[in-house]
This record gives sequence, C-alpha cells and structure tokens, in this order.
Amino acid sequence: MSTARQLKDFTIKIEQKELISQETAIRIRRFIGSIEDSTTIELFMIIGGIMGALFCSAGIFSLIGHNWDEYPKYIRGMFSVAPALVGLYFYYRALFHHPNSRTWIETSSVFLMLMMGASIALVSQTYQLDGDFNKFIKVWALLTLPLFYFARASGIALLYLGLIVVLAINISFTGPFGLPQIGESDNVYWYWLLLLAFAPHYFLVLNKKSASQSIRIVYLSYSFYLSFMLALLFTIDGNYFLWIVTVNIGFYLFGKRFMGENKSTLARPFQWMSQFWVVILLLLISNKDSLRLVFSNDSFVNLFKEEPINPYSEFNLIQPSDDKLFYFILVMFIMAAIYFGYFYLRKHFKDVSMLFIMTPAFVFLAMLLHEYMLAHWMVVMMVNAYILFLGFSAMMVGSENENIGQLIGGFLVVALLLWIRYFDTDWNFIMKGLMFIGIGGLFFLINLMMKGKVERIERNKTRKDAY
Amino acid sequence: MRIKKGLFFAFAAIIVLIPIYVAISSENVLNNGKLYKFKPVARDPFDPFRGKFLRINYDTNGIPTDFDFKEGERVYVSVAKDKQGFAYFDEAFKKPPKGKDYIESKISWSGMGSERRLELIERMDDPDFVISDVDVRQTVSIEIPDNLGKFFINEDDAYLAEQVMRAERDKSYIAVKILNGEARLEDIIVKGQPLLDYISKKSN
Repeated sequence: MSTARQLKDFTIKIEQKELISQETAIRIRRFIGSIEDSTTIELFMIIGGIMGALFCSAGIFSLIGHNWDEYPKYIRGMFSVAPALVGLYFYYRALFHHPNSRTWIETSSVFLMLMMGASIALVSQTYQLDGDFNKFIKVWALLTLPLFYFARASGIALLYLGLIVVLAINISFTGPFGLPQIGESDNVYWYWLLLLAFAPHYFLVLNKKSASQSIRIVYLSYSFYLSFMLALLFTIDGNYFLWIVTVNIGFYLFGKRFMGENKSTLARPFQWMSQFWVVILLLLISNKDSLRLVFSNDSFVNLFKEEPINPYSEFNLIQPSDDKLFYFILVMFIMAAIYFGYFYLRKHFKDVSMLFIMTPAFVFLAMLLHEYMLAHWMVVMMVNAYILFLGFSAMMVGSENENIGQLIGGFLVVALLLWIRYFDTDWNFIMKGLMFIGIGGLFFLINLMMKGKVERIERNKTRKDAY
Repeated sequence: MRIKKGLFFAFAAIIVLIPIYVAISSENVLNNGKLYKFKPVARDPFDPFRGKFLRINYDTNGIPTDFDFKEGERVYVSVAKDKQGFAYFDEAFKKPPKGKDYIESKISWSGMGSERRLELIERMDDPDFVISDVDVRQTVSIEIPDNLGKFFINEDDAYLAEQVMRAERDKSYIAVKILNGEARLEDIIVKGQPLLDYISKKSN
C-alpha cells in the first residue's frame, strides 16, 4: 500500500475516533492527494510502453523474416526504409508534440532504435548481404547514440550497452549443438569508444548535488556495471585479480558518493555488487592451494621475472608481453587515481569502509610479499585475517548505524569464511580447535560489549514510555 | 526549437539514407558487375533478425600466394574461371590486384595445404616429374567473403530448397556479381533456372 493511501486511511481512523473534525479530515485528505507522488504510475507506464515497443518490434522483425521474395528486389530495397520512417515518425511526435512525457520519449526511442536495426536487416536480407556482423553493430550503435542526447532517453541504455558488448567479445555459434563460443575480439577499442560516448548521458542524468538518486540512474548503473565488467574481462590481458578489485573499489566509492543515501540495498547497485565481487575474490585466494594457483597465474610479479618458475609447465605462467605490461601500468594508474580522488575529496564521501577500499593495495602488497618476503602460509593467514576483519568491521558498523543489511552481510562473510576454513584447513586438530574457539570467544566478547549498549537503549525506552 | 528540428531532420536523413545507399550500391553491382558461377554446398539455418537462409559454402582452401600472411589478416583474392566456366579463387594478394576481379576476405589458415603436399608427393614418383613445372608457392585458406555466405529465403521454401540443393548439387551454381571488389550474391541457379522458380515448378 502506498504511503499516501496509508495516510488517508489514518485520517479516516482519527476522524472516526473524533480526534479531528470531519472538515479537518477532508482538508488533510485533499492535501495528501495534492502532494501524492505519481512516480510509480509513471514508471509503470514507461515500462509498459517499452514492453509494447519491444513486442511490436519483435513482430516487425518476424514479418521481415518471412522474406517476401515474390516482390522484386528493388521494391523490397526501397521498402526497407519503411521501418526507420515509422520509427522516426513516432520519435518526431515524442520530441515535438510530447516533449514533457517521459513515456513518449522512452517508448519512441526504444522503437526507433529497433526500427533502425530492422531497416538495415531488411536491406541486407533483400540483397543477400551476409556482411560483417561487427560493422552492422557499429553502425547501429552509432545511430543510436544521438537518442541519448536529443531527449535524454535512458530506456535504450540496456539495449545499447548489451549491443556494444558484442564488439568486446567475439561470439561465434560454432560450438557443439550450435552453442555460442566466446573469445577476444579485434573490435574491443570500439566498445570503449562507444561506452565513452554514452558516459556523458549518465552524468547528465545523475543528480550531482545529492547522494540520493532516482530509479533511472539505478537502472543505468546496473546496465553500465554489467556491460563494463563483461567487456573489461575480455579487454585486459592478465592481472585480472588486481583489475577487478581495483575497478570495483572505484565503483564502490562512486556509489558511496552519489547513491549512498538511497534507501534500499538494491537501489545502491555499485555498492552491493562491488562488495560482493571483492569478498568473493578474496575468499577465492583464502585457501592455500587456490592462492598459489592465482598468484602464479595472475600476479604482476611474473611480468618482471627473467626465468619462468617451472620451465616444464610454461602454460601456467604469465608470459611477459608489452600488452600485459601496458595493462598493468594502466591498473596502477587507475588505483592511484582512485586513492588520490578519495583522499583529496574525502569530505564528500560518507560511511566509507577504509578497510574495504584498501583491498587493491592489500592484494598488491600480498603479491609482493608472497613473491619476495613472506612464506606462503603467512600470506594465506594474512588474507584470512583481512577477510575476518572485513566481516567484523561490517558487523560493528552495521550495528552502530542500525543497518541490518550491513550487519547480516558482515555476519555472512565471517560465517562463510568459517565454513570454508573448517573443511579445508589441514592443521593439527588441536591447533585448529583452539583457533576456532579463540575466534568464537572473540564473538562472545563483542556480544558482552554490545550488551551494555542494548541495556542502555532499553532503559531509555522505558523512561520514554513513562512520560 | 529550430536547431533541435534541424538536428532531428539531419539525423533522420542519415537513418533513411543508409538503407537507400546500401540498396543503390547493391543494385549497381547486380546490374553492372561481372557474373561468376560458384559450385555450392548449402543447408538452412535461422537468423533471428532476417529469417531463414541457406548457408552457402565455397572452396576457400589452397589458394596460392607469393606473400606471407598471418591468420586473421586482410586479403584480396582474385577470381578466375576454369575450363567448365566455373569460378574459383585464383590467387591471394596483400593489395587489390590490378586488372582482375577480386574479393576481400580474411586469412583463416596460412601455409602449404595438405592437398598440395599430397599432390607433390604423388608426382615425385613420376620419372618425368620436373619440380619447375609445379606451382610450389605456399597456399592460404580464407574465410567466406562478406555478402556471399547467406542466401535469405522464405521460410516455406527453405526446407525444400535445402533438399534441392543437396540433390542437384552438380547441376546448380551460385551466381555472384563482382564489381570493383564488391561482391553480391545474385541468385542460386538450378538446372538453368533460379532456385525459387525451380522450387515453385517442382511443388506444382
């Protein structure tokens, strides 16, 4: 039930109990009606419109698929502009007759984008143009770009970002049973250029003065994050671990700055997705075998080695190359820029977990220490301690800020770590037992500290009730 | 508002002109290009945007060349006709060859082809064998050139067309028009008739 509905019901109740007069109740209800938020209804209309445009477009694509070969080629060739013209007509109506209707703008943009594709598909079908698929995507994406800026339509973002990902990933349907095979693409630079061309749209829509954002920016953030991360994995040439952790910290800080005050966790996409990925990656290297595997395959230190560690299994190692070195230097720059940006503009960021944002530096340090200074088991312990501290600090901060989500998140991290370590640690059983009891004892200690706080809150509550 | 309208119409013109340009350039190749007949191999898969099509394969292996190519490198391949009048990929070049019809593609494999090697081994036993008579240049394989791989077809005809293509393979050819390096698949000819005419006669 909406807040407005609840408030109206409440006025009926207090009117029935004669706490306010009938006249006042009517005036209050009228006032609530006047400030009632129509965002949800508008959102429903936009989504409904986009769904309508998607279904109609799918139908038109199917009609095109029929291949009307009873008509001569030149007629079909000339007719191929028809879908684009229909799309343009509706877009024109939206731009110049309904410029204030988001539903018109979003729906007509989606429809026009798909109709541009339909026109190109129709002409290529007519003239048997098998063509270069990537060229088709580039033309389609370039034609779509102006739609982000003419009327600032955002609904097409998911289609656009999904479309350009194809340029970063080479998809071919040559696998068994026609399953898609994926690999690196030669057109990856096009992806980054087209993403860069989309970025100003994101910033134009972003509310730069606040840390609370609309559903539109939340939707754009999800689309952007997913497309970006997917393309990143196919662009960088090694050092995946450092890259993913660093980039996610960047997203986390951006989310904290601009989406920190969004109420629901799902409405803070950069925060929850970055934390999720970083914790998963840290858990991945918390086991002694997986840490060895990851560090021997993905550590930047291999780039500076003269001799391979094991000449009989070279495929296990990073083969130094200019590309890999370039991407390593780039990630170092990005990391430095993120830290510089954070420390320079520190007052704009609220409730940032210092421990969490230090993860890239920690991973970098762990790789160095693992190679040159510490024994393998010491680095494993270090990683485990880091995850444990991350979980602890999330629980503590969550409890202090009364943020249940954060508290449960922290608890889950610690519980997951405990679960994995209990089964994969092959220490002496006495040692293992003592360590687990020690950590369990720590939890009890924290609980004892918390107990005082709870009692104080309860006392305050009773005092309030007595008034 | 006037600027916005101007921008809109400029944008609309680009959108409309792209399919028109493709249609006109294709008509130009089909009307003015030189006809080549390729031997076909086909089956009928499905394209989500453009419906059913016959996948056309060509003999793209063992093309001799004087150049060293890497996999994925752009290549220009001249097209010639054999004694029966069928077209084949004659020679691979780094730049468009002058005075010859050619198509553009990418290298899928580079080196001495196994067929060529077997041929050489066989002929070596021949007492009259003279090495200078043999084309010992290295060979390359190419990807199927753009715009020649798919023949879009009505879904009702696709299955029958595939069967016809399989049964009448020796009596059919792919008509391709080539003009200044641009290739367009004109039609599939079966027993001297366009494929669709042949199918409609056969189903009647």
